Amino acid sequence: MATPAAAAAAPAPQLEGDIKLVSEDAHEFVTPKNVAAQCKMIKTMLEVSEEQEFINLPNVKGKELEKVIEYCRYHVQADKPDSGVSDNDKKTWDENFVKVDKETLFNLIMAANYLDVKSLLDLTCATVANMLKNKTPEEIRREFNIKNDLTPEEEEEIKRESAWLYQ
Amino acid sequence: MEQLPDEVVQLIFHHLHSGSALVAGSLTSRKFRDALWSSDPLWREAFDHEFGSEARDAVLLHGTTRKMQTTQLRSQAQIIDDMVWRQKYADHKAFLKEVDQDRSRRIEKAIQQMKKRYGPRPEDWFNLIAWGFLSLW
Repeated sequence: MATPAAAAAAPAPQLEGDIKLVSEDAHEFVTPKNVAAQCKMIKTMLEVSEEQEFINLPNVKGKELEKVIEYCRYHVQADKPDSGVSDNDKKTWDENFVKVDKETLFNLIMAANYLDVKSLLDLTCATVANMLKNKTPEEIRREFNIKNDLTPEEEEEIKRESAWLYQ
Repeated sequence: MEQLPDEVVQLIFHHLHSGSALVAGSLTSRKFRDALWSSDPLWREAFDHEFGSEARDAVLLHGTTRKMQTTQLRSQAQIIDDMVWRQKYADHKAFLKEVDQDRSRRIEKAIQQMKKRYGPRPEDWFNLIAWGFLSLW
C-alpha cells in the first residue's frame, strides 16, 4: 500500500483561528483553519477570504466530513518535525483509519476527491486497489456489485487488444 | 464503485501497476473499460511493468511502424513483438543482456510467436536465396 503520510506533509498555511465546516446534511464541525486547510479546496477558499466564518460543503455528508477532519487533524500533528511520530506509526494509523465498510470507503474517496486531499485520496484508492488485486473481472463485479453491460463482442475486442499481456 | 468519476477509477488502478489488472478492470463494465482505456499513463506503467522501461524506450526509439503512430501505449504494446523481432536481428545479444531473466523468457516467447505468425521477413528470404546462389556459384 502507498504511504500517503509523507504526501500529507505539505507545509501548513499560516492560518489562525477556527472555521465552521457545514456538511450536506447540515452537520457542523468547528475546525482549526490550519487543519481544514489540508483540504486544498478549503485552503483556496480561505485564501480568498480569511474573514468568513463558515464554509458549506454540499457534496460531503457529516459522517465522511468527520473522518476527513480526523485524518487532517492527525496528520497536521504527526507530520510536524518534532512530533516524534515515526513513518511506521503513521502508516499503521493510516491502515487502521481505512478499516471501514465499503460504502464508507467509497464515500471517503468521493469526499477526498471533492475536498482535494491528495494524500487521503491516494490512501483510499490504494485500499480499494488492494481489494482488486489478483481478481478476475467476475470477482471484481461480485465484490463491488457492478453490472456487466459489455456485449460478448466488446469483451472479445478487449481481449484481442490485450493479447500482448498473455504472450 | 460505479459512481466514482473516471479519474478516480484510473487512480485506483494506478495503484495496481499491472497490465493484467487493467485488462480485468476493462472487462468489468463499459464504464470501466472507457475510464481505463482513456488513460495513456496507466498503460505506459503497465507496459513498463510487463516488459520494462528499456523495452518501452526501444519501442519509442524505433517508433516507425504503422501502429506506432498512435499515442496509446495499449496499441504500442501490441507491436512490442514486432520490435523484439527487429531487435533479434539487429542486436539480439545486447538487447537481451539489458533485460532480466524473466523478461528475456517473455521476449523469447514473443519471438517464437512472431516466427509462427509471420515466418521469416522478406529480406531474410532474399538473404537466404543470395546465400544459396553464392554457394552454388
